[in-house]
Amino acid sequence: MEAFRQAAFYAIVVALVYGVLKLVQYLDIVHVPENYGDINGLEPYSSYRIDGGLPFTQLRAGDAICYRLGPETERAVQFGWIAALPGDDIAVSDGTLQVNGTPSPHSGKLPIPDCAALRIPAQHLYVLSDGHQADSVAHGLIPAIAVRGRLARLP
Amino acid sequence: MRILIERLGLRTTGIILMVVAAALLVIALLVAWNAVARWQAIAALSGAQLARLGGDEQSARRDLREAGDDLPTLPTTVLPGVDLGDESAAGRLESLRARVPARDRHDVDTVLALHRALRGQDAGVEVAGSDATLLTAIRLTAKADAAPAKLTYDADLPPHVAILQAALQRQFRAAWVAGDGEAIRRSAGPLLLMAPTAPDAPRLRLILTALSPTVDASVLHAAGGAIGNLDERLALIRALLRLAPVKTHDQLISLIPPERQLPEEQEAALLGTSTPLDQQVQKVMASPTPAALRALLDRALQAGRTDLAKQVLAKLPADAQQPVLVQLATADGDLDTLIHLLGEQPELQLRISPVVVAGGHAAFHVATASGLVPRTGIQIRLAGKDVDPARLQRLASLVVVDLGATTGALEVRYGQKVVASAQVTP
Repeated sequence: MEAFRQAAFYAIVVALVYGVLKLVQYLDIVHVPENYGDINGLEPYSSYRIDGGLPFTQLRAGDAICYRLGPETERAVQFGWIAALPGDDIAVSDGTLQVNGTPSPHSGKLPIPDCAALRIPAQHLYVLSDGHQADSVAHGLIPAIAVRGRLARLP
Repeated sequence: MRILIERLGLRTTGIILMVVAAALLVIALLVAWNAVARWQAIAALSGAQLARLGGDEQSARRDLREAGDDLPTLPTTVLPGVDLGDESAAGRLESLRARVPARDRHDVDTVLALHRALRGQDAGVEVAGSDATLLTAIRLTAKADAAPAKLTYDADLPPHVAILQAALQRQFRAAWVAGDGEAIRRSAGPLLLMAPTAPDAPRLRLILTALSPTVDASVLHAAGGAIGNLDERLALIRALLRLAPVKTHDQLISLIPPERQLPEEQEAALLGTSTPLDQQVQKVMASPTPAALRALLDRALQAGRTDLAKQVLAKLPADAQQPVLVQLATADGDLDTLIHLLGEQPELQLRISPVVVAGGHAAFHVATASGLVPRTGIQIRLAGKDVDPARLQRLASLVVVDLGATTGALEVRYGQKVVASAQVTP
């Protein structure tokens, strides 16, 4: 009986710790900065919950992510879609981003001359947004350390 | 505890316990201090990467130095701050390699291999995946006259960003020295995609635009305008004139301000290959130079536009006009002018074939000994009257006369001289 009580006690402690950790993750939210306009339909001051604890290796092409461009301030928070992951080949042809030979869905007409293929290096991403003001078109490869987390979706 | 007290006494046991407690406290403090230092170093490293991403290179260097100082034995914090251009970095890396645990040694080996490859030396350590092939490419391009080559990658292990960047930069340098436009595009494009805010990015953008098979003039002008330093821009444009397709040359030259253009560039700018001939004449007439006038005359004559050639001719100095007048008279088939300019010469003597009559027509060939077909000065009379031009047909040297119902003498005159005659009947 005593052993059962002890096991139940430890189970409750573990469940509480797990619950707290989940709650912390649930409360991991980002706010869209003032004057933001790089993703169509993403309203300034709106909030989004992010999956901040997700390992970098679990990110996939097409995922919506939140990342930082500069020191940790809200103003530096940016949003975009992952166009290419480490090991992918990207190139630009007639203003369209090609990922492994296929046009990227978020490319649009890029202000970049034709570029031969670049192999995305380890721990880096190529990220696209609608306005290309703060994505990889403007800033180049985004390092893993700059990624704050994955969003369920973007508008 | 009781055994200890019984054997050592209360006082001695107390002292021993205090010593053990103090030792444990020291160990705990050391662990805590190490954890704080590690946290600070990782935070500094993260700050450095973000500062670099935000374009603040000064802060990035400061943060990297801090990270290395906080944890001088952790590769993750030390390696990003290593200056690979510094010869003494090899010693620091080898020293670090000896101190780090075996599990962290691979990172040090990779940076050490890059340091050696940049100097054309063998890696001397084991490096796997795409890094290995790129390091070989870097080592092979260490010599100033190395030929550019296509980079290859491992399908499973993507390269480290620093190694990829170094390999692309070396390939670009080799391609530029070799004047290999295709190899330049192969390395300049990825470099621009990797770092579009780098100081070299505007130059890469202009290079890629100029070497592109299809060039948009407005895009090329925007790319040229992005290079603020005029001397730098001019040097790059002149280098690109040796590499870019000929059809792009006039667009590239138009990026050079007129007051900085060399004589041959002024000429090329006036005679843009993509500009219609009439507009070229207008541009040259507005600011004529002898070289541009001569080049334009040749183009007008080659295009059969003697009307434009005559406009240009008027701007040439008198002594330069004579040979052009001969060219013009030849192009016009103006035998009178040719004889006037060159005098009577055997080559300018008219030759006329016998007149053949058939089907109500008389026909003959007329040309000079040199093959010139005169288009002016030939007069044809039938039965004492000039033949109506509507009844004449000319096909190169062949002249066909519609006789109608007229019978009589057919005379061919050049000036006042009868050069051929025949009695004809329809």
